[in-house]
Amino acid sequence: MGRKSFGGEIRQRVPRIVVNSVTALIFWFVSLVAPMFVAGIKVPGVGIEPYNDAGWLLWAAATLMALIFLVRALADIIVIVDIGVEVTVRRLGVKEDKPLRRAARDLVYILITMLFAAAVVPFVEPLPKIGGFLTAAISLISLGIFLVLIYDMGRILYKVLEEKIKSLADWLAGMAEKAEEKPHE
Amino acid sequence: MNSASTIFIVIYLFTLLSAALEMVPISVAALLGAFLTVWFGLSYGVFTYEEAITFIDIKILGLLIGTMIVFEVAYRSGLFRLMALYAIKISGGDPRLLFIFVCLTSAAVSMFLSDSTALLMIAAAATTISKFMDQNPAPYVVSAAIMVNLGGTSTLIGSVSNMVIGVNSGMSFTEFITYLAPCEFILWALTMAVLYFMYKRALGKKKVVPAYDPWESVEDRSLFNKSALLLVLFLGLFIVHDRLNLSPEAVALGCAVLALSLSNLDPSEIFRSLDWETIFFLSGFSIIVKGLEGTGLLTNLSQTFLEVSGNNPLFATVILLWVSGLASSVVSNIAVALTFAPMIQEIHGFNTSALWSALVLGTNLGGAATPMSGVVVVMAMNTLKREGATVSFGEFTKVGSLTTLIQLGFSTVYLIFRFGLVG
Repeated sequence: MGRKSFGGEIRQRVPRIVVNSVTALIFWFVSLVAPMFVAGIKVPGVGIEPYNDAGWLLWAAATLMALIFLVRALADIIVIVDIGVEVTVRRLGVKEDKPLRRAARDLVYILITMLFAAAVVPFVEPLPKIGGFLTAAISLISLGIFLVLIYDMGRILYKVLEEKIKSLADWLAGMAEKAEEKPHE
Repeated sequence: MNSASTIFIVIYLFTLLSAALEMVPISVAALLGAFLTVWFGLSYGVFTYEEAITFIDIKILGLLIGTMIVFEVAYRSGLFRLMALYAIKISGGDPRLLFIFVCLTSAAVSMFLSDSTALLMIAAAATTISKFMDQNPAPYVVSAAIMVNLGGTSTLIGSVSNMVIGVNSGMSFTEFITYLAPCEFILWALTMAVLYFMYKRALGKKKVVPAYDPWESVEDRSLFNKSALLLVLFLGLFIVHDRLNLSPEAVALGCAVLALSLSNLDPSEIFRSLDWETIFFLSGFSIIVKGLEGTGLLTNLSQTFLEVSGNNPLFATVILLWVSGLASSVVSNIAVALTFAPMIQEIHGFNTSALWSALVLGTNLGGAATPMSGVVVVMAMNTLKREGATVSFGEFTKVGSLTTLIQLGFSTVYLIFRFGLVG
């Protein structure tokens, strides 16, 4: 797939996630605190209220910077989550590579998890002392598996859709190029 | 919707999906689903154990097993092989005639044999023909699969889904033929015409067929004669069974016992040859559908279906035909028949013959739209693979979906006029 190993990705992306998150946090903090010190100062040349207030401008600039760093951190987090989900889903037994079949298999695993949880809970629940804890644990594990599988399904369907749109765009571009070439012939 | 209904829907979806994705064999998927249905049904108090035991429909199983035994004996007598060999001989090596014979024989043979047995037999003949003609076997084998799927649409014993519908609707053998035979024969012609135009160029030129006697393929004349007589008796009894107050399963099982007694074949070999995968799938899936029925879900669905169709027989019939047809192109048509049959039973107020006929057509015609639609297509693709003539998913789907759409389109018109649904 041309992708680095899970370990390699973690080594490369985790420091970036930390740096970007911390920077985003700093700018967010600045956006909260700094405007107080410059509030009321009118910025010359900007005549529109309240945008000519230095406090507002500082808040807007710091928030924007925080958002930029947050987006950068999220981009790396998504890649890590993607690989994590891939590894987890494969560990669960879904090894299909054809996208739509894989999404359907994810759905079957969701159904199996639901049935398993529904079958086990009535036996576990009445157990003295640990019944409640085990029921909660089963529910949480099931919920976790659902989320991972649903995320995997969404990811696969998004990729399929993206590929289809890309091939449609290529086809349209080809048509446009052909139409462009014709008058020169 | 209560918890039990949700669980039964989950079981139903799980069974269909795991079978369609070939995660487990279809019989195992159905048996697993049946086990879960009984498990949850008992724990939620939807039904009792005594009720659960009655979920397997003995009538359908009797009809299926009886018919399988009768035709297995006939198959071993060489009756169907003889038909195929005669077809090749009569064609005189003309590829167009051979193509038409392959198509017609496929459809005719599958009226009596199970689809998988019919395809095995025809595919063997078709690959022999194509080798002799120095041609690609794909046009013959793909066409055979599509025609085998179509054949037997109008008879109660033509397919397992027909047996399910026949037993649930109470339609007799003759009613089946009266309602559906004209449609089926026109569909044969239409489908053959479409297949011929699609494969015209691939059929090649005429070649001389060496002289041979088709009767040489019959090893035991006595068994052949007995089987032929028994088939006549079998079909004759099916035609008059309602007048004799005999149920279809009684006819099938009676003739099966007769076939086993007269053929002198080893019964254990006959039993081994039965399609147990289908028998277990049918049994398991019947239990799953009964579980859904027990929650009242199918009654609600049939009411919703009537509301959607505005209580109009025309819309109800057309919707049922296309929904069951498209569903059968994705999942087993036996499952579709088992699901829709109880829904139609819940419909009162107008003549349901059109609905039953729509279900028969839909479940039969949807079975060869894509390589995933049914076991016949899978077998055809595997046969071609063995012969080194692979047909891609897209290539088959192009032919299969076109013929399916034409068949469903014509069936819509047929049902409207046959049952006077307009005006």
